[in-house]
Amino acid sequence: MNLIVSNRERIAIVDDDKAVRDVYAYAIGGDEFEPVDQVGPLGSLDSFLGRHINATAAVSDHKLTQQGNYAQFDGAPLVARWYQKDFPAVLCTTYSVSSADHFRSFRRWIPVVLPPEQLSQETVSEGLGVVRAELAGVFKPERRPRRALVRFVEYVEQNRLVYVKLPGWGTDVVSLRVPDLPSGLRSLVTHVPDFRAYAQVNLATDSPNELYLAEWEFKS
Amino acid sequence: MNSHILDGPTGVEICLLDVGHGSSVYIDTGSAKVLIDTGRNGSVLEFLDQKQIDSIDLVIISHADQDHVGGLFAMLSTGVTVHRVIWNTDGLKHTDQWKDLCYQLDDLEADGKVMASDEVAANMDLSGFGDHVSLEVLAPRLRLRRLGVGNVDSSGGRIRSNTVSAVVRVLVNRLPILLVTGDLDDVGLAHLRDPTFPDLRAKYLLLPHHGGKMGASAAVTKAAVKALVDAVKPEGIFVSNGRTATSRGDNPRHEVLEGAVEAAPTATIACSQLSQSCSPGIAKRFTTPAVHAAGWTQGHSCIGSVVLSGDNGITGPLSSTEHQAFLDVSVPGARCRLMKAEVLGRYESDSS
Repeated sequence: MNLIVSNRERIAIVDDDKAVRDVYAYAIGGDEFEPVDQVGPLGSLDSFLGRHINATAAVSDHKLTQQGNYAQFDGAPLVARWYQKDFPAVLCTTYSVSSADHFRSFRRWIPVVLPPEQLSQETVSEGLGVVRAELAGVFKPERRPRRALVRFVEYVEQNRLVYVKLPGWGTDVVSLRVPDLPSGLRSLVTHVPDFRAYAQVNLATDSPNELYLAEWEFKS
Repeated sequence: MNSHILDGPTGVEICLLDVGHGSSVYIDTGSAKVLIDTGRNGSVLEFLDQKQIDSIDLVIISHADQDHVGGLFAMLSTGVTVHRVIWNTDGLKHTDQWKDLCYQLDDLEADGKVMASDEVAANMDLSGFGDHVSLEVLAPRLRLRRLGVGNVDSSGGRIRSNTVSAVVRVLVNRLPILLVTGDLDDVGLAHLRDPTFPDLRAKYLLLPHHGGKMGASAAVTKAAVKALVDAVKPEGIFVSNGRTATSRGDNPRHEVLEGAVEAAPTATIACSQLSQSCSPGIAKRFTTPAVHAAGWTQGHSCIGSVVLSGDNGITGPLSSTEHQAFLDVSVPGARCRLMKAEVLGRYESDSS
């Protein structure tokens, strides 16, 4: 029997739809990567993170809870938690202005978001390079976290959004989902007018969609 | 006018930073670190990190617009020590950002961390920031400051934030090297030349308003740019534009370029970022810039950040080999070149 040892990097493919996983695997497959299908159910985020997935990096779709009981979590928190555990991954999703709000609290730990149509061996290779550089402490200027003043200007109860301004970044108003904020901050920003706090923000980005706010500092 | 004079440019460096749409000029006087404006956002922090600078002796804020003052917020929040801020007051700047800055600087001054009570003013004393370099503040004059933004001057000119822009001339060993003009507009320019222009000559001019409007019409803007360039007589003209700026990604405006080239046909013109009107697509380079340039890695920079030091730009000509090669290869539609060819052609046909 001949034993064939692959030099390709094993990339976990995560999506709740088997057909989509196959498409992703086909898109990135080739000389560089060997796709590793992650078959559900994946269970809770903590249990999946404790599972051996036989890969050194991953590509995950964002929506993981639409089909059956594939996962009890979505891709953005998964990729963010992987980053915090020094495991590189790329999030694959269509990125709209509305989803920018949804991802903003995770983006500190999600350096690369690729739309499905751009998924390829080349883009994943480049994306994982960016993630690995950040994990080694090397940031692109537009991704580097900086301590920044954040002023909360409005709370809209109906959709549980708060609007903030960042004088060190620009004049645009940026929205955040209240449930994504630390629990101690939520009541302050929904009750105290003009509340000011500090957060780690990638101040050098030009794009509101790429802007993240994380690691809050505030006085109650 | 106070000038502090020295004998050698050792250690002196002037950097016109590519911060996207916005302005920031860094000056190392050899013994002090100075910023004239700080750009719109945290981009200036990248430059300071690269230079391992965690303390700035003097920040001059030309006027109260975000694209000149935003970086100061980023510096203060991040913990960069700023010893002194000289800023332009603007009582009508009813933006939250401006209010934040007023409160933040007032608190810092009360805590003894920043000296921020100085209003930028023509002829103010800026000695004490190094022996090699002198900084001359040429505008705004007293009557503009006291009339204030929102008022109308005796000629009927509306005083706006841009009108009261600080105009600062940087001299190295008595040589006038750079004129920084904030967002000066035609009304501010009229005051600057009343009754006659002060000596504005400088080797380099940073054009006002990122190559945008200086007046209500194209004709007014062109005339203002032409008058300014004619008074400065620069060898090099710089534009602090930003490619991704909403509705201004195509700066410099046609009339700005035309006015500049007509006034100084042999001067080189260089924009920090690649105007959308010169190249609809980005143009990536794979070289490393001398200092941080906000648009470099994304393919947004044209000349990027410019460093003037020693015989490269201060006592001698500024090397532009990389930039010229970039234009040759990547920007066939470079409007600075096309405008020069057009104006020079016009002059030749007029003389024949």
